[in-house]
Amino acid sequence: MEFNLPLDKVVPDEHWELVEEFVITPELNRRFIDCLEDHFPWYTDDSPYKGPIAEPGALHEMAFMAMMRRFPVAPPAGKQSVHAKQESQFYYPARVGAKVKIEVRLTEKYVKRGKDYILHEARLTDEDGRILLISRHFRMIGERG
Amino acid sequence: MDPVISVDEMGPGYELPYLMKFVTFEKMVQFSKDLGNSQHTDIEFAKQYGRPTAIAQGLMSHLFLTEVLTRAFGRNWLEGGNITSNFIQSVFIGDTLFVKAKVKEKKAEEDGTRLNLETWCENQRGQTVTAGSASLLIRKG
Repeated sequence: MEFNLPLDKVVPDEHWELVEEFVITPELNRRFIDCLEDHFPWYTDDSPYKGPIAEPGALHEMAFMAMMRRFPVAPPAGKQSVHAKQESQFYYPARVGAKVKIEVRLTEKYVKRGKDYILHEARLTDEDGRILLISRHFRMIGERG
Repeated sequence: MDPVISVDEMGPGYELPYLMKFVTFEKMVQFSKDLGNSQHTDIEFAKQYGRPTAIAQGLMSHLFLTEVLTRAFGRNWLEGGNITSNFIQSVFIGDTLFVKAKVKEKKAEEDGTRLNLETWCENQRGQTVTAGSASLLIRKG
């Protein structure tokens, strides 16, 4: 994907913006079960939630991609951005088959020890408006290598 | 299946059952493929950024840690747990991660018992690559 939003054009904003919706298909769930080797039975068999639930990787990576597409912040020449820190607040698991809404915002831009940081957040909700997950993604813009 | 470990057995210093994860290039690509060409999916691309090879997305080790907590606490984790991970060192193709969590603090609250945990991933060289903390409430009943 293309990162073309200059860092100096980034303006933090507390407003949540609905950007994407997706369905947790069995195939999407299987992708994250396999690549994370997370064979916890609730993701494929029955669970206390009346059916299989989503492996958390599916929600996190969909949230991450939505944040990147909405805020494709480009590092200045000679620098790169790296994922420095992640915070996740789990509210409720998503059932396989659920339609999930992703809202995002970019709430902070700051300098720490001479390096630029930005904070993106994603809030995921189900069809009933129930919050499933809030994912907070801190990126550091630093030297390459 | 109820994965809940009795909170009575846990005190400060209690280590949860750890996981061992083998990070292969195939799994990295499968995880990160929506990004297209990136340091996570393309070895030559990663070398342009000064890396010796492709690196795993930090989210992978974060999610390995959430697996440890889900297996240990089930619904109490999935309905209110929170976790913070700092990505300290890169995870490379072929690395083996030891994914660990330890109780730091246990305290009574009105609705149950709160556990605060230390969480981390070590690689096969004994280096801590990811470190952070987690917290959850073990609800009464």
